[in-house]
Amino acid sequence: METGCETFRDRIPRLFLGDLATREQEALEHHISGCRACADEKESYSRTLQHLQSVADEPLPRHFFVYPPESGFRFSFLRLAPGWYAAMGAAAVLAAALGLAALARVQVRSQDEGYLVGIGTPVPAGTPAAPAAPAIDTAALEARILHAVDERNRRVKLEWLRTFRAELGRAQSRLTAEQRKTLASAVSEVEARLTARVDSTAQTVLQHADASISGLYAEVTAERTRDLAAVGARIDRLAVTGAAKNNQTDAILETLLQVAESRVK
Amino acid sequence: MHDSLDSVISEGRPAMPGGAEEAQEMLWISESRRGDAVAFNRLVLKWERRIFNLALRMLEDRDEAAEAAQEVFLSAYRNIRRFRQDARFSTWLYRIAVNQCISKLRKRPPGVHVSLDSNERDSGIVAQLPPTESHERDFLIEETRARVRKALATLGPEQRAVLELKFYQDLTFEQIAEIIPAPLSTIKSRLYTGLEMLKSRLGSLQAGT
Repeated sequence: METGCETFRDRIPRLFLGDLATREQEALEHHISGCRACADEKESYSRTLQHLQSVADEPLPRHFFVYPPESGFRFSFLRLAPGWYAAMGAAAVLAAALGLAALARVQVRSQDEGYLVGIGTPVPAGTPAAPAAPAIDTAALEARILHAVDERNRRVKLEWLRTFRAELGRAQSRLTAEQRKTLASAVSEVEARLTARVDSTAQTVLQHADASISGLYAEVTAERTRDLAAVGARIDRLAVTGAAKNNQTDAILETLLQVAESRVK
Repeated sequence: MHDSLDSVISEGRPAMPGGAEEAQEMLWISESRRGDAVAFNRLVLKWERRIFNLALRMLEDRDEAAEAAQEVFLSAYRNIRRFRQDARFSTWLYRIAVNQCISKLRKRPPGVHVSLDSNERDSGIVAQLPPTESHERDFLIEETRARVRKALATLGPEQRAVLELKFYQDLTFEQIAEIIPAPLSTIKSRLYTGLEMLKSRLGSLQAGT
């Protein structure tokens, strides 16, 4: 490593974290362009940072909402801004006034360009009223309401299906990973069992082969011995027979010689 | 009047300019200080993903991270009136989260924590399976992530916290020094030492995986 590298090597991680002054950065880049070791070091840091980025954010398992205890409602009520108290007071006064009006059977009817107010008694009928408003088409209204309800139900179902498919997809990806692990474990076990089975079978075959060969050899040896004995016996018999024939021949020749001699005499 | 929580969840809020978003956050904080749980839960919606993933990378266990995240938000809600509104809410929330995680890490017995999360894989067993086209890339990515998590787990809690805040929460050194009360030089020292250790432990990983 060249001299001066120690100084520059300490600056390399600072380069990636934006912790170098511009002049220091330029000096470092200049050094790296001519120093293979420091260039490799820079590449190594770059890879490390890339690997760190691979551990990206994961989706939330759920929301982490806070649900305060019920007594908190009263607590928050007591802490409202003053304007809210004024508004609530006004609302209470209005509600009381409406209640009193209902009790006193106050009636208000619009007529011509003004209003008739009566207390306790029905407001008398005045001049003929304006033409009645046209009748509401209840059938059309009902159809519109039903259509709106159907549309809402359809949207809810679609949303439910989307959520269900997404959850199913996530469940399947998790199951696939788990199934893969289970399958890998099962495959390993089967492989080990098969290997053991093959080994023991090979041993057994060898043992049987050894036994067979030994037996065969013993049999062949015994037969050979028997055959040799039989051949020997035959040869002996032949020898005896030959000797006997030889004796007979000798005897015949002796007799013939005796006869020949007697004729000569 | 405030919306119900369901509408808070379902409404699609458009992106807002930085100033408007901060102003909205300050409004929620003010309402939360008056005890408005719905306003506080809007803050939860905004920050829960970051806080959960901070806890997950520090604790390496989904269940423990979820528990820690819930405790962070509960603690924040209970102490919201102590939050000085001249400070940054993110700094305050991160401080609660980091302290919570470091406290949990210190309670663990010594040694590397092995998660029971199903994302952890025994690469030896899985590697025996013949790779399929559709899963090979996912397998390699998950292998890399598992090794990075194991390497991070070998760091001390304070080092892990600094790395998390710098790399994953994208904070400046000064912001980190506010969250983990320590001198700036100490923060930098922890970060560079941790990075050096990770570089040596992850050195055998191939580029591009």
